[in-house]
Amino acid sequence: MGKIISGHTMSLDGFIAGPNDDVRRLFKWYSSGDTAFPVPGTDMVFKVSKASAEVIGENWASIGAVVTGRRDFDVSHAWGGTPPYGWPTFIVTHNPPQEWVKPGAPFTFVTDGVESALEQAKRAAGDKHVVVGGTTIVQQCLKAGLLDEIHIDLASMLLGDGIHLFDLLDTLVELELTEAIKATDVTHLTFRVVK
Amino acid sequence: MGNVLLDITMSLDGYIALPDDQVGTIHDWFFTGDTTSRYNEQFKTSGRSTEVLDEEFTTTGALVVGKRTYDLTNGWEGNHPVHGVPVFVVTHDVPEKVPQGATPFTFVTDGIESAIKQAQSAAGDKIVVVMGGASLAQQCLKAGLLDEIQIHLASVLLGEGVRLFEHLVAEQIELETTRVVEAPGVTHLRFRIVR
Repeated sequence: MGKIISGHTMSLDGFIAGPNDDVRRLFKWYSSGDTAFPVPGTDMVFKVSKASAEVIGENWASIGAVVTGRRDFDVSHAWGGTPPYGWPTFIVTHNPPQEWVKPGAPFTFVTDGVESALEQAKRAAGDKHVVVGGTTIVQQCLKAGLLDEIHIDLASMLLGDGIHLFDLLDTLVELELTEAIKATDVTHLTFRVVK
Repeated sequence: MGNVLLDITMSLDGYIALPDDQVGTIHDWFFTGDTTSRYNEQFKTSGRSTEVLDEEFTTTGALVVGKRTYDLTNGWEGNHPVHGVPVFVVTHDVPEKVPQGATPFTFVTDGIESAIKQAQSAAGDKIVVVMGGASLAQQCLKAGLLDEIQIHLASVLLGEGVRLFEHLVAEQIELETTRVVEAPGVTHLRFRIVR
């Protein structure tokens, strides 16, 4: 059965976005390589290093559903309406934006909490993994022992300011590194959460 | 002339110590391994941590440290683990009593640039290592005094503590990853600061 994983690009100083949610510098690695990587289900074509293309090709294909928070959804403008790979996306919110609630939309707004969103996402994902985004939700899942793996695309930069991924944790979590891959402008790290 | 390297162990969530300045398990990679260091039998490392630690011993020509770290370790009782290498302490106040041992201490009261310059003179062709703490690291980064950063990334989330990269508002520092070494409990990441 699939795992519950988190996946983020994070600067060396721990930010998953710059000030005002600016991610242009953080995602330098999406366009600084020499290998074209068309993102299935979208019009986007990344240019990453060969090593990154292999990593994301493998990892992203193993994802079956996404759980994220309302802020992430808003900031990314709902990925223009089509999430990568057509991933069914479950957004945890008390306040679903009505303009996105339409039949056939890949978005489900979950108003009864993170665990409900995870359950629904697991069903949608089948054998594949559920990826959790949004810093609040990731940290909630970590504290509740619900996360199996942490994936960090460690961007080779210090941003100085922005949104921390891990700043409200207040819990010690043991990890085990299972993969570290050096690539252009990024190092791909995978950690198993030790339970 | 040798490079100036910031070299420090950090948790995945960016802390170099717990709130009470204890290091918890993040320094375990130095002490709980299976191979006793040929340079100092206090150190026991496993896997490729041994070659990384050996390199520290053989390439370090001088150490620079902040007063707080010097106080917390009690001046290493006069004997810093890298035997005989001169230690430059950045401080406003020269202590009256200095623990006597094999380590030559120089207390630099006229600022970090002076400390780095003196350390470079003492180090010759070898590397000047800025070993912490967080405040000194941040000051050196802001002053553009570092050539390289090496982070020993401990496989743990501490949840809270002394953040290494803080107070760097609006610093946008580009790095180039020069080396990634996987080892038990820790991943050794080395970066060049891009100018």
